Amino acid sequence: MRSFSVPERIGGFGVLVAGAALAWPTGVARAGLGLPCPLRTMTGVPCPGCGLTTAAVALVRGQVVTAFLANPVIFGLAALVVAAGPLVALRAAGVLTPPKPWSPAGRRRMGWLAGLLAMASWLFQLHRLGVGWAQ
Amino acid sequence: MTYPPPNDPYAQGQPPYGGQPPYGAPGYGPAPVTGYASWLQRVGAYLIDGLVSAPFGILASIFGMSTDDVTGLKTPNAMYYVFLLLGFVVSGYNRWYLAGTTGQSWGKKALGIRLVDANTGQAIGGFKAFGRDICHIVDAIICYIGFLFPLWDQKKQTLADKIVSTVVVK
Repeated sequence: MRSFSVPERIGGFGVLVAGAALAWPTGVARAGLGLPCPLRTMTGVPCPGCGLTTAAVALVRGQVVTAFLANPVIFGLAALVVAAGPLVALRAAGVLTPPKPWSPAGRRRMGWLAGLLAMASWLFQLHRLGVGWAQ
Repeated sequence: MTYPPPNDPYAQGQPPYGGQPPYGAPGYGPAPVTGYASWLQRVGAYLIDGLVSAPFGILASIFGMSTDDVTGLKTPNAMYYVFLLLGFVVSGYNRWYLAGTTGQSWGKKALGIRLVDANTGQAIGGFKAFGRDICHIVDAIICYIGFLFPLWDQKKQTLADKIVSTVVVK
C-alpha cells in the first residue's frame, strides 16, 4: 500500500471526527462523557483547539454559524475531508501521481503557516472565552 | 599499481585487522531509523493497552463500592483501591517495563510496531518509557493536539516522542 500524503491523512482523520461528532451528543447525554481542555481546566486559559468538539458536532448537524462561532478551524478540517476522498480515488486510478515528500523548505513554510493558524485560533478563543475557568 | 600505506585509518576499503573502520564508511555507527508506524497503528496499540487495564477499573467500580450506612451514598472501600493499584501495576509493567525493554507493549506487539530510540533504533529502557508517558501531558494540554502530530510530522512523532527522542517503527 502506498503511503498517504499529509492532506489525505488529515482528511481521513476528519472522517473519523465526523463519525465521532455524530455519536458524541448521545454519549454526553447518556454516560456524562466530556472532553475538557486540560489547559483551561488547570489554568483558566483556553487553547487554540478549544471549541473544536462543539464546532464538529454543530457542523455535522448543518449548524454552520454555530460551528464558526465555536472554532473556525473546523472548516479547514472539513475542506480536507471533502478533498481527501477524490484525491485518494484519483491517485488510485492513476490520474494523479503518487504523493512526493515535501522539500525541507516546503515543510518549513507549512510549519510557519500552521503556527500562524494556531496563533490566530488562540486569539479567537481568548476573545471568545476570555481567561477564566469554565462555568 | 599503488597500494594504500599500511595501517592508514583513512584508506578506503577493508580496515586493517583489529582496526577501527574509517569515518564515514558504510556501516559506521547505528543505521538510520526508518519505516515509521502510522497514526492509526499507534492509536490501535494505545487502545489495546488501555483495554488491558480497563477490567481493573470495572472490577473496582463493581466490587470496590459500598453504601455508607449513615448517608446512604456510594463510597469506595478497600477493594476499590486494591483494584486500582493492580490496574496501575499491570499498566506500568506493560507500558513502561515491556515497552521500554523490548520496544513492544501488548498493544504494540498486536499491531506489529515498536518503540525505539530515534537515534540508535534500540529499545529505550523502562525509565525513559515512563518519562515518555509523563511527557504525554504536553500532548494533552493543548486540547490533545499533540497526539495528532504523527498525522503530519516527518518522523510521525508526538510531542512526547520529540522531547524524549523516540520513534515508533513498523
